[in-house]
Amino acid sequence: MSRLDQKTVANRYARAIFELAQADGQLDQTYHELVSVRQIFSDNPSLAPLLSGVELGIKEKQALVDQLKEEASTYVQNLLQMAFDYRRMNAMVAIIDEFERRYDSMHKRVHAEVVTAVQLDKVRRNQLKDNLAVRFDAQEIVLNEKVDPAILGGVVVKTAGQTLDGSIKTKIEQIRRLIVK
Amino acid sequence: MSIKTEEISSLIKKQLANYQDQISVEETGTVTYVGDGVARADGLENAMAGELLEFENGVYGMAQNLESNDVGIVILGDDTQIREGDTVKRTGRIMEVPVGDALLGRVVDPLGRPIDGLGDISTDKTRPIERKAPGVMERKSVSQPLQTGIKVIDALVPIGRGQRELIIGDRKTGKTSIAIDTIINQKDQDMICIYVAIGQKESTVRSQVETLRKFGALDYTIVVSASASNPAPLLYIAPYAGAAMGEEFMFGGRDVLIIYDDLSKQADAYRELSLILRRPPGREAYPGDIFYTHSRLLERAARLSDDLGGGSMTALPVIQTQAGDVSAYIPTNVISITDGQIFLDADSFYAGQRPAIDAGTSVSRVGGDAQIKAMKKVSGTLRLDIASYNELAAFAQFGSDLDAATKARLDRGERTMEVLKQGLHAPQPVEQQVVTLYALAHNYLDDIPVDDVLRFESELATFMRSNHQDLYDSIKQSGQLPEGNELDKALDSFKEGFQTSDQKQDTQVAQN
Repeated sequence: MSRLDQKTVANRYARAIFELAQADGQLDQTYHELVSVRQIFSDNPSLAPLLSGVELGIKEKQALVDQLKEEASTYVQNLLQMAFDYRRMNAMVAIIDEFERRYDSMHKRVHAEVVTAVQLDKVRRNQLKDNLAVRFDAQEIVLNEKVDPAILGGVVVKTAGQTLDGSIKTKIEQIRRLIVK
Repeated sequence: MSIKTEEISSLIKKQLANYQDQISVEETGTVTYVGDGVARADGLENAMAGELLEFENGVYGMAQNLESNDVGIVILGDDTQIREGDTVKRTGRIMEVPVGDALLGRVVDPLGRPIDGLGDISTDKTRPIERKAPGVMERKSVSQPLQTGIKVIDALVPIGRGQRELIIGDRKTGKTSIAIDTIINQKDQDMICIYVAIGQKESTVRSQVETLRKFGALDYTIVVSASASNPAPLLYIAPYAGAAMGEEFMFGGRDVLIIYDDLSKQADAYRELSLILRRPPGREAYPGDIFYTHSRLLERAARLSDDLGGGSMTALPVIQTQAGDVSAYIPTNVISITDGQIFLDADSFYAGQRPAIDAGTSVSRVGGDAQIKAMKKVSGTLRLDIASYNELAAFAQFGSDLDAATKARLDRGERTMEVLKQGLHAPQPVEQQVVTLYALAHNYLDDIPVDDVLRFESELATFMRSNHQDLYDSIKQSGQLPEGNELDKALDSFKEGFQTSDQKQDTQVAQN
């Protein structure tokens, strides 16, 4: 159950860097740097497996890590190096996710994935944000918008642990089950 | 008649004004592992232990392990359509099954869905499958007999309503037959029967159902079947589902008989689940709470106090042993929970002593109070007779010269064992048993050859029914032996007319 371990690991690393950055008042900077590191990982899907795999020698891997570290602040540099030394590079994305969760809960910010059938316009987007802010008791809502014509209409909002489903597809599915019953 | 258009449209308008689009708000988690009937899910932080969860494809699961990072879920259905990354949502309910009269005569799975192809079960009542057993003040002591119709059980290990009596023995020793015969004998006794088949072959369950149908016993019986092909979680919950169905009748003041056939398989299913859920294994790799699994189930059998309607639920759990080993983990556990056990012996089964009940090790701790007076009188010395016979029989194999007293005891023992034999699916009413055992205890059988004992018994029953039905009725109604020597007279007159096989042959020879 490597998955479970990864979560525990991510929790510990994220907590360490979060508390360190918080004590030094570098939280915002660290957060932005980590988000861009995550961006690099997600843009290059082969990066994480390469760093934790056996295809490359340790020197070649170190070169890659050095490149990652180049522009970063000391804390992020240290985190990357430490994660690499302890062979935790495959947990890097999970660590950053966990860091983000802590950062969000401190700023009362909620990330929500929004799925709609058509692209949201500005008015609707703001309406949705305001409503969600009330519902989740948050100051800021960060929307991650996706368009999926398959849901036919309405909107599906997914946050960590909750799903608000107002899609036409689900409604039709419910009606179908009711009739079949 | 004219349709009042305006009225209707105003009504519709009113309803439409109040119509609000409901969006579903659900707490969800993500499946991170699935396999072997078990799933793990991230999230679901507020899930309760035992809560029903729904997977994306409509399959239900039950939350079992609540851990720091994830939730362990047993899947109550087909797990092949569930994938990693699927969402699981909370339902906020705990597991329930439909209950009520509509289930009688039906065969259902542990979730209460019909599997006999006879259409829907129309009942809107449900009960949670897990329920705390009735407490001390809600019970009263067992006082009414439950007649199994099997002579040796009703005489030696009587069962009372509300009792828990274990049926234990090796494979193929007639455990299920005893259970089925007991159900058949409950006809017209105002008793609801529930037969929970756990981990049995579908074909076996089918033939049990057909047997029950043939004897007209299905009308008051519910069959709950989790067969060998069902996933382990269903086998695990089957007895609890059956108990929930029984409780509905028990709390309605009815008498219920529930048979768990068998709990060894349920223990195996629970062991499988627990190991996959990574709970620490204990003795014989069963999880630590295997004792509680069975004790909380069997505690639900009860005789309710009069305030609660005086209903009862009698439980007959079945346990299979390996090579007669009652000291294995599960048998000792269940023996200690129940109020006695009926031990079936493979050797005597193959020797033709059927039902193969071992009189020495079978006991009933509370049933004696429930036995009718007449039966108590005629069966008083039975256990001792059998014990001394077994002792002597082993000894007599060596020697040939036996004194008259020993020989008499051996002869009596042989006839006792013969009388206790009984055919399959042939339960006898208690009055008939009493008269047979009376004849045995009062030496009417001593000069009948052993081969003729069973014929003597059946002809006696026919004779009594046609000539002395009043005696039968008085035993049945009063529970006492008839006063005076009426029974003796009846037996004397029957014995005069009874011909042993030898005598019959003699007369035939004489006629020729």
